[in-house]
Amino acid sequence: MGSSLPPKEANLFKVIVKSYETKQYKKGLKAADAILKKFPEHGETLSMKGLTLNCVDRKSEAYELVRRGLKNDLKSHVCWHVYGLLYRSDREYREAIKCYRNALKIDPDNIEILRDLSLLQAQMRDLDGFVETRQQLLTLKPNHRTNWIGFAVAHHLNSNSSKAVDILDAYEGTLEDDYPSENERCEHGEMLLYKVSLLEESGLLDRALEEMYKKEAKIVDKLSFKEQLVSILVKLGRKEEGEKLYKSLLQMNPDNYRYFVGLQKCLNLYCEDGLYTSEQVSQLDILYALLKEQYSWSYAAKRIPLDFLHGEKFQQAAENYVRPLLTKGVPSLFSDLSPLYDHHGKADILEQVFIELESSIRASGCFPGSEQKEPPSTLMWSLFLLAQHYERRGQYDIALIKIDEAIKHTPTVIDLYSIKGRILKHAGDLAAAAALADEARTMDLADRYLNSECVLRMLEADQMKKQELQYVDVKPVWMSSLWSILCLYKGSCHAPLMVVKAINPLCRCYMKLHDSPLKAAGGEDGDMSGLLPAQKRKLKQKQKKAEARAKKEAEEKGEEANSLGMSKTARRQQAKPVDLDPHGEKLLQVEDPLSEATKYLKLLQNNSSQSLETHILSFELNMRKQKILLAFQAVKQLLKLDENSPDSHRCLIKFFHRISSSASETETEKLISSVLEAERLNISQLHGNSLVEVNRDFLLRHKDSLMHRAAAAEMLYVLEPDKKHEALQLILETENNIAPVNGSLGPVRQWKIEECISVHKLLEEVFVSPESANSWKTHCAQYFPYSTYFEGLKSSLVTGLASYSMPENGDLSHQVGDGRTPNGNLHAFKDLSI
Amino acid sequence: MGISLDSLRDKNLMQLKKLNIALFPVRYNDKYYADALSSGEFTKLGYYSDICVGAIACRLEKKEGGAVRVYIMTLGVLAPYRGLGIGTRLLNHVLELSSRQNISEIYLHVQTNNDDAIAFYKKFGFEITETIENYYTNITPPDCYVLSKLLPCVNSKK
Repeated sequence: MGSSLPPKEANLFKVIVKSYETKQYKKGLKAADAILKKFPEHGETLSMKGLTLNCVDRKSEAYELVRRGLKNDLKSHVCWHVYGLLYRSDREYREAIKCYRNALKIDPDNIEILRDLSLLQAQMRDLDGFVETRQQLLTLKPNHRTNWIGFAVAHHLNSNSSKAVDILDAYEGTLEDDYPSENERCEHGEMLLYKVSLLEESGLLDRALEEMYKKEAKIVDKLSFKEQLVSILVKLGRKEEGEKLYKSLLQMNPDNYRYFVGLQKCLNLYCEDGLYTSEQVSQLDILYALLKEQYSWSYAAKRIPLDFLHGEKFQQAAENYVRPLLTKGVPSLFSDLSPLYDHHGKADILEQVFIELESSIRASGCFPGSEQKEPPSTLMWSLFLLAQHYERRGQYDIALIKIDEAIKHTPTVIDLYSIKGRILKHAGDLAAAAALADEARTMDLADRYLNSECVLRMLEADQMKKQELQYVDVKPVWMSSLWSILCLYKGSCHAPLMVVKAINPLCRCYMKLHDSPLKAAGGEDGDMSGLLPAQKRKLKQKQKKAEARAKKEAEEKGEEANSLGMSKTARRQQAKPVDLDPHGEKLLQVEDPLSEATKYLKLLQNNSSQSLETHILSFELNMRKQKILLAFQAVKQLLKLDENSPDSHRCLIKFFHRISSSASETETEKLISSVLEAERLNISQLHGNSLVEVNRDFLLRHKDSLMHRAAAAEMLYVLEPDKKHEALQLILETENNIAPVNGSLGPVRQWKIEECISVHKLLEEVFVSPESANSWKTHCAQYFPYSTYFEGLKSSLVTGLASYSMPENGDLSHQVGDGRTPNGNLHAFKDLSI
Repeated sequence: MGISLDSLRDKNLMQLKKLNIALFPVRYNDKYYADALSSGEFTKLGYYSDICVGAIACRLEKKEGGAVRVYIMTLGVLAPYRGLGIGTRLLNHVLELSSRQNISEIYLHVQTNNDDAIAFYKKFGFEITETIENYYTNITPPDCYVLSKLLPCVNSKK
């Protein structure tokens, strides 16, 4: 490096490289300028200067310099390497790989470049290339352990576990007998465990077991050793040994749920769905009674029985489980219990338990049947638990009474405010929810979770301006967490939920763009011209919201698209450290929104094919694109996943209605229609029935469900537009029945607020019937008094937001203000007894 | 159940505000909170099993001649958590800190009818040194006592 320079400058060049590595960029730039003074066109120096500038946010200069440097010295591997590093810093990995390859043409054995290349190959899932590069590295430096392991990992990633084992075996063969030395024992042990896991993965269980016993002494991590051993033993069906091992693992950590599950499996007392026979339940009961005694510190041993017990035994166990946690004050107690609400009848029992505990504490300060005085905080935690219980039940008014009482009891507990915000959110008052989340945030300014939650609530409440202030602060956390999740899940077959959540609205935005292009692009178009001015305004507002969301989503997507090796367009949207397009305008000026949406849809289809949403999107997108067969595929998938879903029904009817109303003219169209004729026979609903009849059947089968009725009504209107009135009546006459759970404090109704909102939108946008929409709104306002959407009487829209954020410093009327005493000096010691 | 103390910082200032709203019928102004923050260790939040339930807030005042005295602006514990020794912990902390720093005087105002508070402070050696009439506006009685305590110097300077 820097070889063409005289000694003094060559030394300076070393300084640049060193400064770059140690992040002393100013020093590096100084040295670079010193060389350039004498040799203004020195390629490698120009490149290094550019690379350094890239680190101090002078990107355009950086590219210019690096490119000029390369032009001046095309034969320098340094220049190519630097160019690659620059691309890598912008996540242009493919370009970076090209540069590395050019560098390696000049200097084929350069370890650093090979290592950089191998990392990017792994990143881009060029696994064959990765294997090759790791092999080269091993050949160059066979005495480094990392190179052996790197080569093995490469084969492992490339789905060749047995080859990976061979490599590790070969590596062990190079070692002396007395290896490892004291300071290498840990690393060596990890390698051995890795090898065993590879053997297990490739199904060589006996060999894996043999290896474990042989190398036991050399494996330092005893916990992992046991976990690995028990996993193999169980796979070999050696359940008795497995049982013993799981028990010894529980000795080490009695709160690891996996050990309990494993133990149950060894005893043939485990089933995935948790539906045990009564005999199994009594066996489990005995088992856990024993385990509880043995591992008295274990919460898991007390919690797990709540999953399989029922009735009175459940009640007993639940009470015993909850009591000490209320005493201790565990804010996450409700989330711990919440899966039980899906078990039949348990919610009622829990409610009874909680209420008894609360009233006993209130009356005597003790739990029922106990003489032990509870600490004062127990009442607050009980109220907190009850509030969440009623929230879960949809009884928001009671939930709010409970949480307000808890706040009055101890106004300094932040979780109370967060939960109150959540209750209000679910009750439909997003503005008040945001106010509460903000209040919680102010109570601990150092808490990033509270900060993110606050931003989220404000986004939901569309308080964009306020939110922007903090958004900057939070974004990096969101991003990095999203990114790290993606890194973990990349390559594995299930997509993280978060990505699915983000892609969905993005695709919908693109479709909206297609349906009604922006005003700038096409002026008022057909979609809007038939609407009343007020509705137009609403539509535009909605578009604006969608824009904002699309922007945010796209930023996240950019990250993710890169890591998944997506197309160039996707890469262009990546989130730069500085957002060049803060209002998302550029993003909206896509030429073909549908093809953009298709790209993202593919991601969904690959990664979350079991979700209804994916296929609904696919249906809507392909119908717009006139891709009839692809749309039909989506319909079939939907019916397979859930033929009773209102959305599946919608797609089915819409599809065949569309087919029947369009005549096929060209050859292809005729071919398609003959395919569909044949396929139609495979759909049982359609047998010998007209679409109108199919729709009627669907309605009859689900006549008590709001969402199903709405879907049937919508389809009735699609099929027979003249029956609009009948269709509207179908929706408006739905009854909000009482859910089959027995809340002891007032009834629980079936309708969910989000469902009612979507019905309102249906009335407004599809039926375009303002009268029906209005009467629906008034109707819903009764059921959801806290909803701002329906303008319920208790919502902050009506009562004013002020009631949800307490005045900063209490009651003004009591102000002490005679100048002489600036700080009212009162001491709260009534009832004080010390 | 453990009692612990923590310092007041700008990040947890809201905790003290929430306490004061619940405890006192008085709105404290920004100066109060600025004084509390700048008093350093003389202002403390009291925690009961990790819940903030009480606080002592002091102001350091310069006397003529340069000596410093401590003025207790507020001391209070949330009603459900009284009688557990949290107030004592808070006051003892300030008393000990004062004597360690060779502060000789500590005083406060208390409403004349607040017998519990007066009894509480007397236990710690405070004495009524003055009565100020019409100290408070808007609350009755408007009069207050000045309670003060002189601290012995622990290690006299040489």
